[in-house]
Amino acid sequence: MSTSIIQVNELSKTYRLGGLGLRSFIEDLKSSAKKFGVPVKENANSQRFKALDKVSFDIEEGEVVGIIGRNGAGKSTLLKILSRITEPSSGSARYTGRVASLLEVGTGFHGEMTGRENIFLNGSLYGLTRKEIASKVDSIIEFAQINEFIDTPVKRYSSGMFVRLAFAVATHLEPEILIIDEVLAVGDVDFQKRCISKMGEINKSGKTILIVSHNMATIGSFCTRCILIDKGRIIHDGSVDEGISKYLTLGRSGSQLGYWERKPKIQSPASSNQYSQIKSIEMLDNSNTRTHLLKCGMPFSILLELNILIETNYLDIGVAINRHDGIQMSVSINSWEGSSKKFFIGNHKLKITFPKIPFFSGNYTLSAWTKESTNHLNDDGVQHALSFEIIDHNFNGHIFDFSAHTHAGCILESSWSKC
Amino acid sequence: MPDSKETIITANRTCLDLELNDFFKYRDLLYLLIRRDIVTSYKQTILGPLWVVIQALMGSAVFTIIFGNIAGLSTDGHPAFLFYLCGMIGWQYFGGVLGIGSHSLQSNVALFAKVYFPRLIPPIGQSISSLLNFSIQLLVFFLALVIYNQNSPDSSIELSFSLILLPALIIQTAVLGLGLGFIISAMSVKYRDLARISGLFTQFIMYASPVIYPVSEIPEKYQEYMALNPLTFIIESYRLILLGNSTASNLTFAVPSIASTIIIFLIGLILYNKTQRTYVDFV
Repeated sequence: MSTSIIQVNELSKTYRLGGLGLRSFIEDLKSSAKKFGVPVKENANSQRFKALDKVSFDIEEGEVVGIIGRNGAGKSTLLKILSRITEPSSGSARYTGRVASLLEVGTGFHGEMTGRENIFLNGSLYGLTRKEIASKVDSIIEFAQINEFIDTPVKRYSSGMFVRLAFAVATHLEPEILIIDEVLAVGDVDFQKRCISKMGEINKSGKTILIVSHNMATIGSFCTRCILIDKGRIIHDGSVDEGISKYLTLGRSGSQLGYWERKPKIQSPASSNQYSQIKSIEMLDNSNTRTHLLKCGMPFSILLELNILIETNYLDIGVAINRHDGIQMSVSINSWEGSSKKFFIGNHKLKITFPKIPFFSGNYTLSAWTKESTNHLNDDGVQHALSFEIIDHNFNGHIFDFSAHTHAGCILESSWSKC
Repeated sequence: MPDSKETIITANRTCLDLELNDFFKYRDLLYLLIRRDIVTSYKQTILGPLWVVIQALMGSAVFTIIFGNIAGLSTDGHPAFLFYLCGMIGWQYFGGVLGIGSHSLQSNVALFAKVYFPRLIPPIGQSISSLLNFSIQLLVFFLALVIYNQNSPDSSIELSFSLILLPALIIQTAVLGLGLGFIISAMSVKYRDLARISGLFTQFIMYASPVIYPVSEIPEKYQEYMALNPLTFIIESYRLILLGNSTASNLTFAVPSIASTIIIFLIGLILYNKTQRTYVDFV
């Protein structure tokens, strides 16, 4: 007997592309005829899409596993199969104990019924008995902070109250395995914090959690393991940091590393009232060659190519560096450094030089934006245009012991003296 | 309480795996859904359950005028209004359950796509909660019966002990309606063509069943064909139980009716269950 609480074995899910109609019906007939041994010619054009392709992994009890990947990578399909909403096309999965899967907040709530009635209904939807729910109803109401409205029909609730109640029920289900899909992105900041701490509590009591999110901050701070899925296959299973950094560099081939360029076919064209457009962003090391690998403590620069569409005297340009978990580590703006905000129509190249990069090793992304000061909206912006890696900790010629400094975000230059 | 039950998810399970253990485990959900339906059924209406009463009375009145008085169809010796009311009550419950069954996968997709629970619970729950309307209509029938008996004491209708068979008859009505509904629901998930004609189909069954006419009205040589329709026995049995006699509530009609009800239900159950496993991929 293995100690795994979830075992997934070569799980695949295939979808057929295209609409359902007479043509697909004929194909269905052909494939059923084939099952009965009738030889038929298969249509070579029938397009199939493998949402999951022989995915296997084991999850031990008590692990918090973050499942990440780009849109359409197969994350949701995996969760749907594990939640028993749909069946795999081949392969198998087994788990021990009860699964509560929160693919959406507030599923099955009925507007005409009161909050209290909905707690019972929703709890029983997830397989709890009335007795079990009755023993938890008070703590659910307390967690949702809606005491005075609990006997009011939920259709009169504000959307915040509704979400709080739904989430409160969900977190009190006490399943052995909790599956969450992006639902942390609800409620106000304070409620989100309580949700995260509640999740931590659930996990401390030895429960297993599977979480799908695009928020790397959640994944990075919360998970003990990370599974990265791309095109239906697992391409990383293990360390969270490594998984996140692989996720951020997905789909970027070698030549694209350290360089971003506007692709007119993909990005929307400039609007008529737009002052500027970022054409390309390039990262250079101290010898002015393009790179995506930087050394902590060494100089680097960013080459920004702008296309000015309307002459302006007030153009703010900013570049920001974000850590892999989404936290913005630094921002630099032209006007702060006394650089001119006046630009004539045409192409402009700007070089932004940083004498010393103060961040620890890890994965980072670079974003850039422009803003016309008389106009309150951002003029142009490219989020996470390129990602780069900081590879070692050589700061002032000193090589750090990595493990001792993992909590720090950056190193401020400082001078030390005895006095 | 830790639950150490192991769940296995595999492709292509046998179609006989009906997840009945789970059904039992979720019985509280069934109870709560029925309660929800009943509590919320007359919300935001002024006349509330009166609509159910009006529906039955109007329906029977129209039938009495058109089929009884104008077309002059026989009512097997029963007072026309009671005859139509009785047939209507049985038919409307059947039709209601058929509707519930044939929309069960389609109308619950928002729920079924987000959380797992036995997919049989919502349609079965709704079939049970629609007994509320059935009971109200039954009450209307008994009131009409009392009024009739007072007005014509010579030919008064006495209720017999056969009334204790009514629950069994209701169960057969529901099982047949659900079975047929499940087949329609399962078969119209991928291709909605069947859903297009299901209204027409329901009307067709009504006229093929002795709702507005008694079986005795059919020439004897065709009566054996009537026996093939499981509803013939069901509707005629409502008349036997509620009005005291019927031409077609006997073994000749009962055996094929009960047997086909069971077969249709099993086919429906298997198709429904097989379809629900992956149907969210198509809807």
